[in-house]
Amino acid sequence: VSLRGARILVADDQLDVARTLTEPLRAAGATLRFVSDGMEALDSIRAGGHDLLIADMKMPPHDWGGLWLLEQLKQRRYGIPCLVLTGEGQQRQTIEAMRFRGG
Amino acid sequence: MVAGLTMRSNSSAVRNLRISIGPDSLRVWPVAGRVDASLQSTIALFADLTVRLHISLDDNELLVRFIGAPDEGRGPIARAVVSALTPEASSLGASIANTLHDMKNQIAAARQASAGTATLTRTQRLGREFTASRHVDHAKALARQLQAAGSLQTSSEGVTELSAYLRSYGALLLERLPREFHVITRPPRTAVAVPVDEATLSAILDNLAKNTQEALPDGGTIELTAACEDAVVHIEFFDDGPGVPDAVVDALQSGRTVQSTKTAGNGLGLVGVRNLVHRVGGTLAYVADRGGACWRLSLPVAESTAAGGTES
Repeated sequence: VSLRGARILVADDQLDVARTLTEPLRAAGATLRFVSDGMEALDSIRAGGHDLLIADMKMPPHDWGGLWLLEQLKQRRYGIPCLVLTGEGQQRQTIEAMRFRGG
Repeated sequence: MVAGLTMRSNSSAVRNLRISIGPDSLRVWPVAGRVDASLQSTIALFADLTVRLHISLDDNELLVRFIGAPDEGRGPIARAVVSALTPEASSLGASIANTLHDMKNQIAAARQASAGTATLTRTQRLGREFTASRHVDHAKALARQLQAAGSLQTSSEGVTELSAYLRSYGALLLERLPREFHVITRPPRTAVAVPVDEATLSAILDNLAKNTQEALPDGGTIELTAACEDAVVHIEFFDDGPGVPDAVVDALQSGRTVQSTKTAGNGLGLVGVRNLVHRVGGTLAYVADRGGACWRLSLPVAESTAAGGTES
């Protein structure tokens, strides 16, 4: 699969983990940009230039900063596709993420 | 009464009530007038909740016990009651959960890095192994923090003679730190032992040294001083860095978990130090007037030393 030309924003406070986990995307040709919290991600999305957001659920500015980010995107009607990346399998957060459009 | 929120309702039905909310009950008393006249207002207090109550009249207040948890309510009283009845996760528990979460992520990343290497070149494979190894090291470091915070370890056994130990620890620390660091060790003038084994004492000092290293990326000076005063040994760990924020010191000294953003740490390092020191009957204090960061560990003198200390 080629992802050449795809611009992906990755939001995760564990940047080393995020880099390793998204390495296959980079290897497939995607251009990755990393940010370490929801606020920074929101600023980057506002500035534009990304085709996809991959967000960790647990990151600043809140305990569940990824959910906060998705909620902000929904409120501001930003249309960027979102993928939630998390090691937490709790049903409640999963449902909330889907409510905020996270795939 | 269990300590809880004390509030005065703004609702017209309960305007004249004072309410103290505990984990499983309320106490209600009128601002003025007879307490038994407050019963109807007290019942009105819960009109927006689905809840079963037992209300009894005490001398000067109504005691309200909940039978079953209230459903989610929408009014300010309902929110306060629900909030008071919902056990809040302790900050230590939250820090431990966050650390476990980070450990899990590091292990997942290590697994990802080491998977599917069969078709890679030797150099690529070694690069992936290096990445996996780095993630495993991070996971191990987090496990050590959990251990120090007390979730995996229960006690310290043994005694450490401080003069020899601090000389040795200072030398090892100097070897371990980047060359931009200087370590000055001032052991106690008399032989003195503390009821802490060397591994525990090293875990305490390692945590403080790690904080110093993070606070001083370009290097600095660490002073490790110990002095005996009556039956207490004071060990001071000083660095000439920017010092520790007041919020961190306040949180630590009031027994709360140190709040920390995950990018800068999980707050368990200092909690681990505090717990280890407390576990051996000592105290941890921050000395704010030295122009850097200075932690003072006060430990009891071990019985053998207290009975017959000798000049070294």
